[in-house]
Amino acid sequence: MKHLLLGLSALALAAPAFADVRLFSTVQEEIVIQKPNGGREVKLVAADSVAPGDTVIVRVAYANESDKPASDIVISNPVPEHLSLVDIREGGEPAYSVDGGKTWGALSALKIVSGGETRVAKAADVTNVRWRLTQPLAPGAAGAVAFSARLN
Amino acid sequence: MTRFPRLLAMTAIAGLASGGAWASGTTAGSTISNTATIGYTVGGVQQPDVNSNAASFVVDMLVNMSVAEVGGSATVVVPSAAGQVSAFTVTNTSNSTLDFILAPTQDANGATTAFGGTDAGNATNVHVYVDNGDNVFNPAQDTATYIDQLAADASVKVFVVADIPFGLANGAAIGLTLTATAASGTTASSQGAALVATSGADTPGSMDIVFGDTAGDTDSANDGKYSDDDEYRISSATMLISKIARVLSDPFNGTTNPKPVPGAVIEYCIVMQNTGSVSATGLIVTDTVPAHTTYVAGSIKSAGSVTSGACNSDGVTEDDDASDSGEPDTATGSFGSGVVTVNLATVAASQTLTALFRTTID
Repeated sequence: MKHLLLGLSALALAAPAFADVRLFSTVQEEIVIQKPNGGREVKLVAADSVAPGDTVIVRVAYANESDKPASDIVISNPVPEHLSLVDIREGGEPAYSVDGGKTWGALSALKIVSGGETRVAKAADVTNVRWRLTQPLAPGAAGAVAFSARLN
Repeated sequence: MTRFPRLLAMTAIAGLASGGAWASGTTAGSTISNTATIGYTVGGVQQPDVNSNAASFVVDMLVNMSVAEVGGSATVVVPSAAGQVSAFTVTNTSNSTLDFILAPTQDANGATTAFGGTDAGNATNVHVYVDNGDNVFNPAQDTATYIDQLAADASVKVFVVADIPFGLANGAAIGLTLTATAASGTTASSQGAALVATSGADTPGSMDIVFGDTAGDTDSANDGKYSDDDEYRISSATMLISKIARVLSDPFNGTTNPKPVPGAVIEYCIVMQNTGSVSATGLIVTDTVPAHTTYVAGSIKSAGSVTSGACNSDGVTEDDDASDSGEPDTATGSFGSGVVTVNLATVAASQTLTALFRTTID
């Protein structure tokens, strides 16, 4: 399978008609609202006003619009440039890559070598995330995966 | 003054405060785009990968800056000193290149100044200049009055230059504050307009302006400005002068309990005490020999000492002419037209010196 990189948005919008499984990506900003009673409410709003340090939620919804079940589903999402992964919000624990998709594994199994020292990878090191669905997606079924990330 | 180590310490604090990895952050106006890809099989047959749409947003301009007084102590000045420099460092911690408008203001009279003084007056001829990169104020080269296109995370030195008035006492303070206001940095060699935060509803798909600055000494948080204060501290000489007369001898009692009768010898001791914090220079004492007395030739002594308020009658004997030749020190003494003149040259801070001469009662 080939891994497509960023920059294919034009192609993506002109999605081929035979595509039976569709993907829809959204980016929302997570804002924390201080309530008068002292509580905090976390709200998702359109990512129209994002400044460095803010947290966004990247969500990818998928749907099987065909009349046949889709199996062996793999959803891969490169973490966009300038964003640092914070945590996974939907879709369960994915596989991670810290080298642009060359090698994959659990975060604790990945290593970062910098300045001659090796350390365990952190969320902010992640370059790609990849979810594998263990069950076939029935015709008409839908789901979503999501992660949060901070704007550098 | 230990200027350099303090500067380093302040830089370290600023680095921590601005939040580590995204000190200034992703450049304002950048488009962040997300595209996912799905692969799947149908009936055991691998299907072509499908891409999602590209979900994107534009990074807002997060305006933030710091102004920090350099040196961590007052700028020590003497009265009437012109062109005294107070240095600041302005750092652009925004995610965009910006201009900064610079405005020096003076503290209100009586206000507590940056380093604990009490504001006692205003400097005059106050100007602000931007350093040309050598970190030293040079009037010929540092002529810019606003900061032009300071890159994200870059710093520049700024000098407030002012004249110190005459007449302020030793230890008096002149407080001042430098405020930097973020301005549009899109045009080189031209001071941009002050930025205005995007208000009300957000503008989707465009770059908004968000003020992320904290409160400085005289400005508020999230106002697109930052300020820090400094002060000039007056260091001057303060002279206390007193004159002591005593009878050394008279023709009848000699030196035992002498009385001020005709023929008695009187010693005049002029005590000069510098209670200030810098040397007094060019100090000349003149004293007219009192009526009905006659100056004792060759009796001038300079730079004598005092013990517990009593004149020690010591010092260097000076001749009576105005010339330095033949006199052993830098001080000179002279007598002419009934006036004794002693040139003490310099009285150091906290030093007390005397000038002596003798007369006889007619």
